[in-house]
Amino acid sequence: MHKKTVRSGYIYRAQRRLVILGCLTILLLLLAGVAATLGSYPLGIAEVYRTILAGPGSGLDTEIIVWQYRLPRVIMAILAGAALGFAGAVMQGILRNPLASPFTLGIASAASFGASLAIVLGAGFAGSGSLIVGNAFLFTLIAAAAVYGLARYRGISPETMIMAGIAIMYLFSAMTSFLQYIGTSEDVHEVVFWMLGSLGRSTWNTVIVAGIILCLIFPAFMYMARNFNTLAAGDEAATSLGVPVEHVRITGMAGASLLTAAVICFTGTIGFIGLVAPHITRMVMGGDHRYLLPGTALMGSLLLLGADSIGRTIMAPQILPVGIMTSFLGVPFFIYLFLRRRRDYW
Amino acid sequence: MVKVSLDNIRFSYHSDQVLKGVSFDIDDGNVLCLVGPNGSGKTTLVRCIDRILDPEGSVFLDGMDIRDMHRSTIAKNIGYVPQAGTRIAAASVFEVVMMGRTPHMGWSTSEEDIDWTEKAIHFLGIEQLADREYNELSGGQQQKVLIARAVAQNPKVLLLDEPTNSLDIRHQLEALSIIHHLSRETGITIIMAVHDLTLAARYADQLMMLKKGQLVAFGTPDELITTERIKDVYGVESKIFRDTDAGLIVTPLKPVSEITA
Amino acid sequence: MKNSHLFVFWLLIAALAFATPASAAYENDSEARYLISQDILGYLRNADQEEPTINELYQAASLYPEYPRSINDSAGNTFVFYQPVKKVVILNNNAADALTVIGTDDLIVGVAESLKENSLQFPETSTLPSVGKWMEPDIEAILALDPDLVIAYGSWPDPEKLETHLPNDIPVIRMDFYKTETYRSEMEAVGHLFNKEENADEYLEWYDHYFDLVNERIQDIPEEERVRVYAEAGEGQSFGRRAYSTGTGLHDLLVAAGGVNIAEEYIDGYADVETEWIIYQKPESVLIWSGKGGYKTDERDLVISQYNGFTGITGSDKIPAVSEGRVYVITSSFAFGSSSPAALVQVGSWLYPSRFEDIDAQSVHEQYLEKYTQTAEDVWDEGTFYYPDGKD
Repeated sequence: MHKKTVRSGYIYRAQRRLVILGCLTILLLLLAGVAATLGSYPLGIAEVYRTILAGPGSGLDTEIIVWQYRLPRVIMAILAGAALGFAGAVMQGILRNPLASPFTLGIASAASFGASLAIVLGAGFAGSGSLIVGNAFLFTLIAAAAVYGLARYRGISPETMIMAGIAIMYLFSAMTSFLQYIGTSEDVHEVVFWMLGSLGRSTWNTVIVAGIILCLIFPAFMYMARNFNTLAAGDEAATSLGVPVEHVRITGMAGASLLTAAVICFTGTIGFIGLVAPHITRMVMGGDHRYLLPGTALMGSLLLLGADSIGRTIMAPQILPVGIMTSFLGVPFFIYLFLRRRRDYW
Repeated sequence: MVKVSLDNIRFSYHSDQVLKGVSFDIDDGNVLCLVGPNGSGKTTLVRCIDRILDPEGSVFLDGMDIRDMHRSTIAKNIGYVPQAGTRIAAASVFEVVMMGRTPHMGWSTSEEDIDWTEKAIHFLGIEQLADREYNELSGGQQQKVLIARAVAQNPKVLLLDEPTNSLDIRHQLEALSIIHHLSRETGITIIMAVHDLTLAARYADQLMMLKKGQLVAFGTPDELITTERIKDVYGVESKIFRDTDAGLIVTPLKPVSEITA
Repeated sequence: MKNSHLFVFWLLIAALAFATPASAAYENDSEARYLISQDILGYLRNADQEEPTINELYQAASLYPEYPRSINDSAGNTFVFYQPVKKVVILNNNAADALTVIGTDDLIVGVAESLKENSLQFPETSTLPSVGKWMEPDIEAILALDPDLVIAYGSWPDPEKLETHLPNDIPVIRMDFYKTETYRSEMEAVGHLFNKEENADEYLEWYDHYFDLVNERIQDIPEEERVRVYAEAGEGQSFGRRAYSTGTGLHDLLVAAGGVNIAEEYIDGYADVETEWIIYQKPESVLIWSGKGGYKTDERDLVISQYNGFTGITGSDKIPAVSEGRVYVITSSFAFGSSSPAALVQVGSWLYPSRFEDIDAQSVHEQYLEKYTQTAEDVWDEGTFYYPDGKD
C-alpha cells in the first residue's frame, strides 16, 4: 500500500509534465497559425493558408507577404524565444541563481557593444548589416571567454562567475556609451533601437542559421539535463554524486552564450524572456530539467511570438519594439503566478 | 563490503595546512566516528575521502587508489551526506532522494531507480514527506532526506559531515539510530564526523580523534574516551560516567587553564 | 528735478549733440532712437523698468548708424543690439549657411566641431577654430574667442550647458534655420540684426519665387491625381522601416510639392512600419531622407546604398515606385535650409514631371550654389545632393 503511494506521486507528476509539454506545444502551434494571418497587408485566413500550402516561389503579392515576410518572422520568433528561454534556464541551473538570465554574464552588453562598433564605424546601412551581425556575435563570444578566464582564475563557482559577468557587463556598457558619445545622433538612435530588439530583419537566411545552431545545442543540453538537476543540490553534493561540476558549468555557460549570441546578433537584445520564461515554467512543472528545458523553450517561444504579434497589430501599421512588448506581456503573467502560488518553487 | 584506507592525507586551504598527514584503515561494515575540536580537520577529512576536495596522499578502496577511478565510479561506491541547509530549487523529496541515483542512472529514470528511491524513503521512514517540496521541510526532515539520498545511491561507504549539527535531540537520536541500523542491516561502512562525544560513544564501533589536523588516537570508544585524552585533545576537564541504558556519558566541567601541546 | 535726473538729462543732451552730425546723414534710425528713448523714459518714470546701465548709454552715445536694433529669436526671446555685431560663434551649422546667404559669414569666428568636416560647403568657415560639439559646447573655447553673439539651435544644447555659463554680454540666439515654418522669419531677423536687410530680402525674393511657383503649379491638381508618396528615414534609423509623417520636414516638403503622404492617416511624426504595409500601399513614389552625402564628397556610396536599401527589399518589384523608377534619396543638406526652394522644385519635378517640364531643377540648384554659398564651381559635380542625379 505504502509502496504504491510513494512512487505514484512522482509518476503522476511526471505524466502531468508530459501533458503540460503537449499542451504548450499545441498552444504554440495555434499561436503560430494565428500569427501567420496577422499583418497590415489585409489577407483573409483562407488566403493565407492557401498560400502556405501552395509553397513559395510563385512571385505573387500574397506569396511574398506570407512566405518572405510573415513566415520567417513567425519562425524566428519561435526560435529566438526558445533559445533565450532555454539559455536562461541553463544559466539559472548552473549558477543556482533565480536572477540569472542569458545576459547575466555581460553578454547583452557585449553584443550591444559589437553592434555599436559596427554602426558607429559606418556600417549602419543595409549592405553592411552583416557586419553588425558578425560583430555582435563575435563580441558575445569574447565576453563569454573573458568571464571564463576571470572565473577560472578564482575558481569556477557561481559567485565568481556572476562577479566576473558583472564586471564584463559594466565594461562593455561603458564602452558602448563612449561610442554613443563620439558618434553622430543617427548612430546613437540606431544603437538604441538595436538594444530594444526587433524581429523585423528576419529572413529565411537568418532563420536557417539560427535554426542550425539551435538544433545542435538543444540536444547537447538535453543530454546534460540530469547533471543540471543534480547540480541544484549544491556543488559538493553534486561532486559526490559523480557530476563533473566545473565541466558542467563551463559547458553550460559556453553553450548558453553561443545560443544567445546566435539569436541576438540577428534580433538585437530582447530582454526579459530569458529571465522569466524559466521561472514561469518552473512554477508550472517543477525543476526537473528533462522537462524544464523543453518546457522553457516552448514558453519562451510563446511569450516572444505573442509579444511580437501584439506589437505589430495593436497599432498597425506602426510596429512597437518587441523588447518593450515582452515586458508588458510577461510581467503581469509572472506576477499572477507569483501571487497565486502557495508553495515554494525556488 | 569494502576496505577503506587513508595514506598520509595532507590538505591545505591556501597557505593554511588543515590536515597534516592522516593515515588509517577502517574495518568493513563499521561505524567510525571522527571527533575533535573545531578546526581539527574533521569536515575536511571527510571531504577528502570522497575527493570532493583533492588532497595530497592517497585514499584506497579495496586497495585501489581512488585517484585512478572515474568520478562516477567513486560515486557508485561512496555516498556523501552534507549538512542540511542548502536550498534545492523546485524539487520534491522524492526527486531529491532520486538524485542519489545519478551515478547509476541513464538519461531516463529506470524501474530500478524508482525502486531504490522508494526503498531509501522507506528506510528513513519519510514516506509521508515524499511529495512535499524539499525547501518546505524542517532541518531535521531535510537531513533525513539527504541521508535517504545517499542510501539510494547504494554505496559501499557512507560519509556524513556532522549530520546532527542543527537538529534537536529527538531528530539527532532518530538520525543516528537510522545510520547505525543501516550499517548493521546492509554492512555499509560508515564514516561520520560528529560533534557530540556522548553520541559518538554510543553509536560508534570505532573512534578517531583529530587534533590540529593530525590523528592523535584511534580505537574503540571505551579505549579512547578517557579524561586524559579529552584534556589533551579538547583542552577541557571532564567527567565520564557509565550508565546501563545510556552507555558512556561525557560531561565537560571546565576548560583547562593551560593547554598542553 | 532730482540730481540723478538732471545728470541723465545732460547726458542725453550730450549724446544727441554728438550724434547730430552723424545721424543727420541717416534718416532710418527711428528704431534706434525709439529704443533708447523708451529706456530712458521708463527709468525716469520710475516704472518697473531696468534702468539703462551706464554701459548701455555709453554704447548708445556712440550711436552707430541704425543701431540699436532688436530682434526675436525662435525661442521667443527678444534681444537688443546696440552696435553692429563683429564676432559671431556658430553652434548651428544651418546658421553658418544662413549667414553665408546674407553675406556676413566673414564675421564668424568659431564653429561647431562638425562644421569643420564640411570643407566643401564652407571652404573658409570650416578652417575656423572649433568650440566643441553643437550639443556639448566648449564654454572656455567660446569665451576665448570673445564673441558678440552665439547662435545655437532652438532645442539644443540645453541652456544649462550654454546660456548659464556665458556672461550677459554674450547673448545666445536660438534659431534653427531649417524648419519650414520658421525659416523665413529667421532669415528676416538675421538680415535685420546684421543690417543686411537688402541681402536678406533679395534671398527671400528668390525663396518666395520658387515656393510660389511650385504652389501655383500643383494647387489645382485634383485629389485623385495626386501622387501617393512614401517618405522614410532610410535604413539604419531603426530595426524596421521608419516612415515620416505629419510634423516632419520631409513630409512638409512632399506636401508642398503636391504629393500625398500614404502614412498621414495612420501615424503622426515618425514611426516604424511593417514592410508588408508599404507593399500593400503601393506608393507611386518614394522619398528617402539621408543625413549623409550632400557636400561630403566621400559619402556618395552611402547615399547610393540608401537607395539600394529600399529598391532591394524583398517584393519591391510589387511597389510601383520601384518598378517605375521613382525612388529618390534626398539629402538633408539639400532638402532643408537655404537650398530648400531648389529642393522643392526638384521634388516637384520628380512627382509631376509634366508640370515642371520647362524648369531645369538642376540649374536652379546650381544657381543657388553659385550665388548663395561659398562653394567652388564644381561643387555640384563633387557632391551628392540627391540620388539618382544623372551622374552614373
